[in-house]
Amino acid sequence: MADWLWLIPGFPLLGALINAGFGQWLGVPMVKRLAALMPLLSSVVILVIWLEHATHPELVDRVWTWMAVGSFVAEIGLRIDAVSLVMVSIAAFAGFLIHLYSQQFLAGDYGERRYYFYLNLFVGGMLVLTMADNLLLLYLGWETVGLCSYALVAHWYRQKKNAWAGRKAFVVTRIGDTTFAIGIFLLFAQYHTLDIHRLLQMISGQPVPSVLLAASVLVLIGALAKSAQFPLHLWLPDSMAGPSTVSALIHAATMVTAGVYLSIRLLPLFAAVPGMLWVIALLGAWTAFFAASCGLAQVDIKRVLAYSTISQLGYMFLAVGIGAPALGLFHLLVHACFKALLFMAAGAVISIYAEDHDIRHMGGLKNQQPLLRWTFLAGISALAAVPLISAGFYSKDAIIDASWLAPHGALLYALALAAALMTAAYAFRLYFLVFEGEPRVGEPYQLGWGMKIPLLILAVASIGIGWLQFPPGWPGPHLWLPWLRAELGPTPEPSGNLALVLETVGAAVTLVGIWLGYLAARWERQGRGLSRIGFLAHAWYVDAVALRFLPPVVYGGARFLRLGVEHLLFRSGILGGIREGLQWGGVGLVWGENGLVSRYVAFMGFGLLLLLLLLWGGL
Amino acid sequence: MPTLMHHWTFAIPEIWVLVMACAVLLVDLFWGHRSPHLAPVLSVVTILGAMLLTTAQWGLSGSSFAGQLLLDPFTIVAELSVELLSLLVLLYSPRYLRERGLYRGEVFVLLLFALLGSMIMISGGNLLTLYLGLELLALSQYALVALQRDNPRAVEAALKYFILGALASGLLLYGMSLLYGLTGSLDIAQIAQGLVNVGADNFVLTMALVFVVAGIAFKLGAAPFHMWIPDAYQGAPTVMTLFMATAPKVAAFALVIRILAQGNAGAVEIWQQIFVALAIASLLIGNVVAIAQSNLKRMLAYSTVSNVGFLSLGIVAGNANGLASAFYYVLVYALMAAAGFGMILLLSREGFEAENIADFAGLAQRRPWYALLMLIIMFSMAGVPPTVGFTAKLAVFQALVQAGYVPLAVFAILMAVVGAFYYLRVVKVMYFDPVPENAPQLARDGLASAVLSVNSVALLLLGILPGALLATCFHALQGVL
Repeated sequence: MADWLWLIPGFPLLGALINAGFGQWLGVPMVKRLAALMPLLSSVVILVIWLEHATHPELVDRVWTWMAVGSFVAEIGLRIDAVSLVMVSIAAFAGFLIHLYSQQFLAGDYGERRYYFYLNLFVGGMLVLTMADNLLLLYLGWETVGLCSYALVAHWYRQKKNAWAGRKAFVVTRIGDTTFAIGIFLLFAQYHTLDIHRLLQMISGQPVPSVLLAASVLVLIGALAKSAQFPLHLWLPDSMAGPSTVSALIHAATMVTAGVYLSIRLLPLFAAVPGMLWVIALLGAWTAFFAASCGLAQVDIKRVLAYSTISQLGYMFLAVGIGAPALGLFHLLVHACFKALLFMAAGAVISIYAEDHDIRHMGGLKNQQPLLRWTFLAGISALAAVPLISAGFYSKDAIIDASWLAPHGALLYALALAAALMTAAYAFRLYFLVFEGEPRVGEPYQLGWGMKIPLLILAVASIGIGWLQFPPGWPGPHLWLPWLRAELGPTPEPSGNLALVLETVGAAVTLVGIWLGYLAARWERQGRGLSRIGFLAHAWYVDAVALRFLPPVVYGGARFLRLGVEHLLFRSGILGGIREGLQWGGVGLVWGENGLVSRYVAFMGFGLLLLLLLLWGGL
Repeated sequence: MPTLMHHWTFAIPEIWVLVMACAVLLVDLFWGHRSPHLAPVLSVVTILGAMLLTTAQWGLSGSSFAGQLLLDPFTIVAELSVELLSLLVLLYSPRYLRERGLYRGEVFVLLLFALLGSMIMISGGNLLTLYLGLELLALSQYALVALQRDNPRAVEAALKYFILGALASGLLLYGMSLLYGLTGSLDIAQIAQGLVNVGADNFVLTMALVFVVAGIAFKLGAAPFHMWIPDAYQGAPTVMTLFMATAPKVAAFALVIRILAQGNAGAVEIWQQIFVALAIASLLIGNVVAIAQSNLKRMLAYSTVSNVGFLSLGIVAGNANGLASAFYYVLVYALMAAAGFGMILLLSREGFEAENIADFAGLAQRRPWYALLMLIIMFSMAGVPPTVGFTAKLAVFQALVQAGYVPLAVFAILMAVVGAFYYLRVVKVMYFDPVPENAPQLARDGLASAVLSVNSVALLLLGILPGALLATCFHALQGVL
């Protein structure tokens, strides 16, 4: 037992509470500092856990039994194991760095207090989600995160399109939230418990195929929507409407990783349904491929990164699907580092170019902002998985290589490898366009220490964190997979000559991709770039098709429900009858209660008589 | 045999209140015109002292004065709650009474006597004692309703209440006399023993119980014996409505425990059936008629009827579990009613009663905090989680379903939905309707608004943390039935 685990989500939630209650009196400068302090305090608590329990983390804190009705017990129970320890570390520490970066980045914005309230709540919700030991609490965190993402994406709500983007993010993820909730209901109806550990034990002990199939599909849709996987990825590119720091938070530390985390946590549920894991793997590989191809043709700096997020999350689902969740978690960690870095750096770039997102209008920033350039390059290298020196190489290529071993592995491998090629290409296309080439001078922008420190820390992490786990057979540290083996089981890894071949192919593909990226940047400057390929630039027209065909169907259905079911059936038919009945009944009864004592007495006597008759009749 | 000292210690809260009520009467007579605050302050001291003395009895149990007064966990919990509710009334009332020229000693003396009556109804172990307490409470209430002698409405309400109350007392007495005839005793415990030989299918016993229950139902306000409630609630000064809706309901519930659960445990099937009929009638009439009300006090009066219907469901369950949940429900309801009428009282001013629902229009813009409190109160009455109203309904329904009355539970839940309509309408009016142009200025009342805040927030907190109070209620009624 560890009775202080609640401190971890407690601090950010307290920060949000203080901000909401007393922020007006504290003033913005105080609110800002306090908001940044909270995730730092959570990180300190997490650091203590790392120091004390790093080898075999297994901590439980039953904070409070909210209600117990019959066999249903709703507990606020927190649990730390290896997987959730990684997750909370990311959420709290990356969250802290983003808070720190925001201090200067958003100074003087019109909604600063509101911003920090949601930022704190966001981190708190994510920590609750990851630490929850039952599905109910997990869902609470899940919804909190969804709400905060809506509010933060629409942060600059005075522009209508930003408000719409927030709404889109909310509505699309809501589809998943709803199915996830139904999935939880199904599981509870079958197994009468929401405790994740007991639930998974019971699932493996007494599987009910039909229920498990339905529940796993529903839960999976929830995870896919949250993690922006095809075809529910629609909300994520639009979520770029929020401030860049928000994108960093949503895409790196919180929110989108929730879906991956859920699928890792509930892996036994998916594994209990034959073929389910393979579907997840295929969806992941396909999403990685699809989003990478879209990334090639984007001209908005943040949209490139947005598609890269979708693509990288695809790799994580691929890892989960091929039975290597430990690798998925590894890539999640690496991705959190470099994606937070890239978004924050992109935010600075956008500020330099006076809120212009178009990378074709940028160039040669390397001399003007050397620190920004080097840190950005570190992040890009990790995204492109530059061999040997970047963390992405150790996490992403491990997934690609392992996918070869899965059933029908060739297909998964081909998709993943093609995605890797395109990833390297669009990543370096972005880098070359923004930082190399002839200089286009933007506004002078001085990075303060509050911005430099997070960038430097994340840059070091983007390079170095991959060295936790070298490829199989290589000399060097192999820490990650053994550490997680007890919890997530053995990870399939190619060995011998096969491994060597796969690794060489992967590295070669990346290098070719970088070369293509260089070319793509040159073409773009010459005005004949990939962005002219409308099919890719518009993301295969999925969004357009969805917006063309879905709304009429949905609105048509809604209209039918409103006019046909609601008005005709419910309001006029059922409710109308009830309401009219109640109204007339009410009038009639009121007539009886007209204030005449004699009538009251008669009524009482009548009631008494009725009671007597009832009783005698009943005996 | 308990010694004389025992008798005194067992009855000490009642004796304290009696002595102090007489003292307040005398003190007010001689010094009242010079210092008007003397009587209310002394009354508060009296109630605080009574609460202290009651608490000191915790853990004791037994009977005193030859079974006239009983002391058991139920006595202590119920007496504490009526004392607390009376204290709430006193704390809510000063400004309201002053503005209407009612800030006089006799009001407080009458309140103290009403409290004493409630306490005797709770602790009485003999039909005669119980009836004595009931009449003491009722007579004080008649006078309290008629406090504004120059207000014809109040006088009319008091007169109606008096006539119907006398009739109900007659019914109760008739039932009691039949019980005495059957068993030859007025003592609760001896009646219970005597009934062992009578048998549940006895014709006279059925009749006795119908009359007794009719009398209790009148005090509770269960349909069809509820007719006095809307008139009395509307006509009485709001402070008195606040009192009538709270402590006497707990006292009336105590009669259920004493006379029915303890005295007629053997005839449980009979009074269960009676309460089924009462519950159905109360739920139906209370909820349906409340929809048609535009006067908030009348609406809350019908809501009382419907709430009595809900608490009857716990009695219908007919076991210790159900009675405990009904007890919990009545305590929760008293707290909710105190807050609801407290809000009307707070918004009323000299010459103006904020008793129409329309008076609450746009309250959220004028006083957001009050609107939020009223929202909590209305949500709690409607039974929306996480307020305590939800937990109370849940407890009652649970007991009912466990006892096998599923169709009745379904009916009650449907009626709860109907009820939600008129509670939520108040919320809608507060938050979505515009402020009327000639809206009167709102008064400042620090004491009452502080008490109301505590009272309403308690509704929320008790709903989030229902365990302690629920456990106390179950403890209090352990072993009954």
